[in-house]
Amino acid sequence: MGIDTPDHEHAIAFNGYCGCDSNNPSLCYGVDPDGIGHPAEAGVDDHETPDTVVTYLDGSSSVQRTQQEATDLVYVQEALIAKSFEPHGGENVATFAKGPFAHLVNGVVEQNLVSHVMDPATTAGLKCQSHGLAKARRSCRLSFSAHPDHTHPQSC
Amino acid sequence: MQPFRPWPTLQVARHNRSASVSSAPITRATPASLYAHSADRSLESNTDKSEGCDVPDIAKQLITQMEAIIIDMAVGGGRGNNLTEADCGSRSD
Repeated sequence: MGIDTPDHEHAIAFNGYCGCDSNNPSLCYGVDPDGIGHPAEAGVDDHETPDTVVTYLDGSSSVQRTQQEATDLVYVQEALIAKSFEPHGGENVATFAKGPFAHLVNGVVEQNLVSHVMDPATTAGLKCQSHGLAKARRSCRLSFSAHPDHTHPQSC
Repeated sequence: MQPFRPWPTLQVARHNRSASVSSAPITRATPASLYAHSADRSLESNTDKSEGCDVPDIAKQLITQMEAIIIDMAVGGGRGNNLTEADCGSRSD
């Protein structure tokens, strides 16, 4: 089984309602009423300041917001909380799994479940009389309890 | 309550191999989670530790775990944490 997952998010957010060709990095142009491209003027916030597509919760920050500046490679997106760098975020992260026992990875789960899913996957080729017996049995119970219809755990 | 054991440690008895591969320094917190125990993520080299600290730094723990064949392969940056100051690294030992 292969699992692809990060250990943290970053404090980054993407605006909605940015029309076509509002790339990243870019100012956030609204949605054109004709559905082709985007309006000539970027959307503005309540202070009449242009929006950007991307904003950070914390980190170093730029306040200039012309399209030329916002599309510059060294442009630093605006951040709500001023810090010298952007630390990790606390949001949920995605976990992708493929292969044997990947069916156990679904829904919203605690991160320690990843280890418990990898556990039966790595014992799948072992026979029960091996030194992995106790763990393999626990793993089988895990797969049974998580999926009562799963009738052939190969590990035992 | 059992002490925490990194995933590769559990895999040794199953004859599975483990590797830590990273585009960051191999002693950074994320790749080091596979092989090291540390009070703080910044203790990557022995000069990062405060005086009197007996716990090995993260770079040292990597070598220990590789010699014990718990980590079979480690690929990443940050070789300065495994070089002495004479070799332009950050180690004093």
